[in-house]
This record gives sequence, structure tokens and C-alpha cells, in this order.
Amino acid sequence: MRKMNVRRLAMYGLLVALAFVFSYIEMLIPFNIGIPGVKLGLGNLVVMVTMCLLRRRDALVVAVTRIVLVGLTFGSPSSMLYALAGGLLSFAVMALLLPAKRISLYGVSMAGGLAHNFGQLAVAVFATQTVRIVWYLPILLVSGIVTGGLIGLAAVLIVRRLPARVTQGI
Amino acid sequence: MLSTDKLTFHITDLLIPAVAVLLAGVLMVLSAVLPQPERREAMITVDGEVIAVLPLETDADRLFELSAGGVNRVVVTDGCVSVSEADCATQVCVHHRAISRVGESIVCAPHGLVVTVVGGEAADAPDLIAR
Repeated sequence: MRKMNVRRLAMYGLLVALAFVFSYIEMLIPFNIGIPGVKLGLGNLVVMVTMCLLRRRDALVVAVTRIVLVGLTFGSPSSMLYALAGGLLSFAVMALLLPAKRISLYGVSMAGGLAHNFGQLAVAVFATQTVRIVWYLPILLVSGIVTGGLIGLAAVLIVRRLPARVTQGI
Repeated sequence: MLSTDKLTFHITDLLIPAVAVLLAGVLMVLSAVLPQPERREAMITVDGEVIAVLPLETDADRLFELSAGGVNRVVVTDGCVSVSEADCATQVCVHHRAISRVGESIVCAPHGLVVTVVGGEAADAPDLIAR
């Protein structure tokens, strides 16, 4: 078995813990304006920063671990399913867009937020077997763009300030 | 490590919301053109309880005097349903346009009254537990 890089292992622990706490904070201070599904997506901020500092697959580890942990702690199997659909789709889109030229973290983050909302809506349509929820799309669209943009800004500020030695030897 | 190019906003970033808006538009148009069931009904609920179901193919004019107080007149004309009269302060439901497509609804929030268009066949079918 290949030896796991100890620094990476420690970094995973830190990042998952941070993402978990962010999810918790998000629950404490509801940003939602009475519309279910509209949230800031602080957990995604950690995934984005991970993607920038480490490898993309490291971000996937953080994303999935966070969703499973949050689901087990605060959620239900169905809420975990919604979160997974949103989280995985969002990760896939961001991982694809990150190396794209002329697309900055702002664009990547907006795409992530939008993909998250589309994923959740798809599960909702599938689960309730009604297409009427597509009328919910405009709200999710606007919220994905706005929250994605804000998270992108936060990610840019964080990545700019983190010294390179943080990820040395990982 | 990430190139600094990733850290500044590019005008091309706007392509992403543009594509999303386009995609959402296509989805909404698709759902709007999808065939509607022939038989449709207006389901009227008060605080989640169904108080009446009116088929859209027959014109109707019903006055609902709610037990909790409040009056709403629900009118069905030409396959569309609307609320023509209500004694609430907001009058939002009265000003709402007539609805006819499955899933559309008119809400009178002060009275807790909701008019929703449902597919007639689904409404006729026995519920899942019975099957």
C-alpha cells in the first residue's frame, strides 16, 4: 500500500472540519429568505479553496465527506440525497471549469452554485414526479448566480492571502 | 498552485450565468409546451384541507364562506379559474390572472385559501395506498 502523505491527511482533517463547521454556521444564521433551497453555500467555499490549493480529487474527498457527516448529524436520508445530488453535480462542473482559460474563480463558483441548484431541482422533480417545480427555476437561477458570485469573491480573497507554505509537501 | 489569472474577474465569466439562463429558459418552455391533461380540476384548499374540487370544463361560480371568517368567490369560465371576489385587505388573489395549467395556483394568504389546478385523471385515480 502506498503510504499516505501525512501532511495531506492532516489537511483533509482540517478542511473537512472547516467545511462541517461552515455548514453548521449556515444552519444557525439562515441566509434563506423564506425560500427553501436558497442558501449561501459556505461548505462549497471550502471545496473551492481545496480545489485551488490541492488537487481536484482532494476537493471531492472534502465535498463528499462533508455531505455525509452533515447528513448524519443534522439531516435525514432524503436531505442527504438532495445534498449529494447538488454537491456532486456542483463538484463535477467546477472540476471541469477550473482549468478552462478565461474563466476565473468567479465563473467557476457561479457555475458551482448553479449546478448545485439544478441538481437539487432535478432530484425534487424526480422525487415528486411533477414538473411543476420548474417554475421554481428563476429563483434558483438568481440565487445560484448571486451566492456563487459571493462565494467566488471569498475564495479569491482567501487564495490570495494563503501563503504557499500551507500546501508545501502535499 | 493556481495562476493569478484565476483570481481576477474576466468578462467571459459572464458566459456561465448566460448559459444557465438559457438552459433554464429551455426547460421552462419545454414544461409549458408539454401536453396538458384533457381533464383538469381546480382544487380549493383552506389551510391544507380540500374544501372543493371544480372541474374546469364546466363553468361555475361558487362563493366560499370560510368557517374561520372570510369570503372568497371562485369562478370557472372557459376552462380557466380565478378568484373574483374576496373580503381580505390585500386583494392579491382577486388581481391574480385566471389560471388553467396544471400546477398553477392562486393564493389568498389572509384566508389560507389556495386554488390549484390539478390533472383530472390523477385526481380521479385511487391513491397509492389503495392500489
